[in-house]
Amino acid sequence: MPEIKNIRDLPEIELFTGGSSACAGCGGSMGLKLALKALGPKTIIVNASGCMTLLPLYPTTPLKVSWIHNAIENASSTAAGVRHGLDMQGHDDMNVVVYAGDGATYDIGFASLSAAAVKNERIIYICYNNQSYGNTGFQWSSATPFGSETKTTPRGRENQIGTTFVQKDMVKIMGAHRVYAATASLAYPVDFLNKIERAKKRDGFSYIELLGSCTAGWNYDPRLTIKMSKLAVQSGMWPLYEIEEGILNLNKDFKELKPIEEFLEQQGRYKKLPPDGVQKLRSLINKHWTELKEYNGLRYV
Amino acid sequence: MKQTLITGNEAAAWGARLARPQYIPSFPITPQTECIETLARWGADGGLPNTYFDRLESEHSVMSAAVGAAAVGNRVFTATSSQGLLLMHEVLYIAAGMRLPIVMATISRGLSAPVTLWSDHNDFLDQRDSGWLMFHAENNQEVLDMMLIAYHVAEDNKVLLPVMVNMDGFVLSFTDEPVTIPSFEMVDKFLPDYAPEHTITPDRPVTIGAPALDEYTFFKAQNHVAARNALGVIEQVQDEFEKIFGRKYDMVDEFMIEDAELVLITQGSMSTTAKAAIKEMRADGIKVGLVRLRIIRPWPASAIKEALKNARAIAVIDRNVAPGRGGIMLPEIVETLYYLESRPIISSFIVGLGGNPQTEEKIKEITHKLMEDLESGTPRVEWNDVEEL
Amino acid sequence: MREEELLYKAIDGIPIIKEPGSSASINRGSWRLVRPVHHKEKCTKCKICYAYCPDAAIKWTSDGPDIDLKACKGCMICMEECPTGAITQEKEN
Repeated sequence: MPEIKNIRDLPEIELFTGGSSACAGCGGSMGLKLALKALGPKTIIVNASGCMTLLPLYPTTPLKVSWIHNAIENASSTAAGVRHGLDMQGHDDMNVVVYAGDGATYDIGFASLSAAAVKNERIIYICYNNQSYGNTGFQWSSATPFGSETKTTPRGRENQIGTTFVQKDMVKIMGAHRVYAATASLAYPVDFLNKIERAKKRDGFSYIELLGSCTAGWNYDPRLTIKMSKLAVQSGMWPLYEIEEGILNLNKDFKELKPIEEFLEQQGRYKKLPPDGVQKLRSLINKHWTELKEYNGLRYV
Repeated sequence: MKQTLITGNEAAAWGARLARPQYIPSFPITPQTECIETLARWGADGGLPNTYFDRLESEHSVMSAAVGAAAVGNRVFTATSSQGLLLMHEVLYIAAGMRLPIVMATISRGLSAPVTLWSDHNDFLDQRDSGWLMFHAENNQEVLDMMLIAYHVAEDNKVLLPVMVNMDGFVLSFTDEPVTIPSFEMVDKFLPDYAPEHTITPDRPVTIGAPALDEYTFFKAQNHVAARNALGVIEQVQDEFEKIFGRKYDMVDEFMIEDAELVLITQGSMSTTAKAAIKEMRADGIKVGLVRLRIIRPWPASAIKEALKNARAIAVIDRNVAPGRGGIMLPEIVETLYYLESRPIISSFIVGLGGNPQTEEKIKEITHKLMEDLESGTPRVEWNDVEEL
Repeated sequence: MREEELLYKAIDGIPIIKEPGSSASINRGSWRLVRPVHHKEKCTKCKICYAYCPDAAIKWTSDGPDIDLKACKGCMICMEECPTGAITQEKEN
């Protein structure tokens, strides 16, 4: 796929069908469908255990490319084996792509991911991030933002904040591995697809983290998945940027960020965050945004 | 043919090299390190022309990468021990469930806690439910030979299961023994090219590793049937092996068994010591023999039953223990012999944990204790090396 | 079934899904509470609904979007994002 300028240029290749048991309005499923349009048929997807694992269910699959699921923490190492296995047979024109959730990426599969990036394996790692362990019912992962309620960081008498930890800055960490690292949002599909196209051309490892807006986990009406994905970007909760050779490029800049309340009020996971929690969350977001603006075009890692 | 002095690690590395695997993922652990280092050195010198030698960041990732490469049709080799073998435990089941004929050399070392570096069989036997086929070598020659037999059996269309070839750590892995290393030409005659039909190829999109609901039992049953098919395939392959390489292997290794009233059952390198002790005891008129278990999975029940059918007392020598139950091989032997017309006395000996050497003296003591048990009609469970504290 | 009766099924006994896109035969329409209705006269063929359907239930034709009611789960993202109001919703009977 050549880089596209507009949704009208979206490739019409169909490598993903309906019929899966993903939630209505699922951001992860949408991301997979879109990613395949940029990746094309010469693609093998390595999946880490999570919501997407249950899209294929013997004997049917919505995938029209090859897909291998091994376990939750080893998508990167499995992909390394697939990559070298293909190369040893002369199929170095196949894309090897990991499609994994944030739990598998930030936590249990972190070591595996880091090693693959250190070795600069020719793998495109797409993390669909719904800021939790989604498939098991929405428990805390180290991608869960401050103030988000999850089943293992619930609000209660002793704790009004829910998640008191601040999530890991994964994209910066991957940038520090000296590979291509970027964020993406479903509301900006042209940007997402072009980033994948850029990753395809690289002779090495790429890490793209897609905000996988999650209607069931975040608790919002399914029709709002794109609205949530857009608000996340516009409020600074999910800035769009990329890091290449350590240099930061802020893809979408705003003169002023939208107030985060608009994002928080529409999601059950944030609704009951008390004012002091909202305040702390706002300052975390502003600090991050300020830092990104400051380092835009400069060495960031 | 010429014999070379090589360690068990080198023998496993040679077995792998001769099989020409396309992918070797590695992670170091004592006492396996020399195996992967040898392969790395050969690779750097151009001695593995069609192989990618890889390094992963954990043994769990080593087996995961092995699955990835095998899933796209590569022949794969790796090696590990002890804690590393246990760390890859979940992926072993996945590899077997996906029917990927990976071959792995396992270099037996006792398990923490407490830590030990020396050899016993707990790590290896802990994998007996994983769906892998399991071979256990007595000496370095058998290590190399088992590697070649393993690939042939694993890749057979009636089997398509991964195989682990075990050797005792340090005693074999870091000890030189004379080994005949066959030529590439001989191995090419023995080992056909690997041409799988159930893996991912670029022109045929398939989904591997998806969930299955109603069909789960069916697939597990097929895994079991394939493992049982391996009983016949191993015999065939070992026959072929004898024709090409001149060395004969049976399902179980029987030593001086013909008129043996007392039979010792052993696994691994300890068997060599036991055989020497038995020769001496025979010279003293004691009717003792040995059955060495070399194929652990699939379980060669009929060969074992045949070898033991005339024994009056059996010592199951377990170089392992399942705390709360006892020696791991004991119930396997007892169940296999349950329906014999006349059941022997079966005593259990738990020995050699954490690498405690089992000398000829100790083997003779075991035999004498077994004689006592035959006299008294009462089996025992005996632990070696415990009084020394 | 007695174990001796188990027959080896070779490749068919290995858990791989060989038919790509076979989920398309599964009807998820029963999930819907509401369904999308497309109004051609308002459609500018911008492809936004086509891009955003999470289940690929909207196919793209030279005539614009074609909604597959077997795959459509009624999430209504298409209606929410359509810039011209060319998609409305009606209750599922």
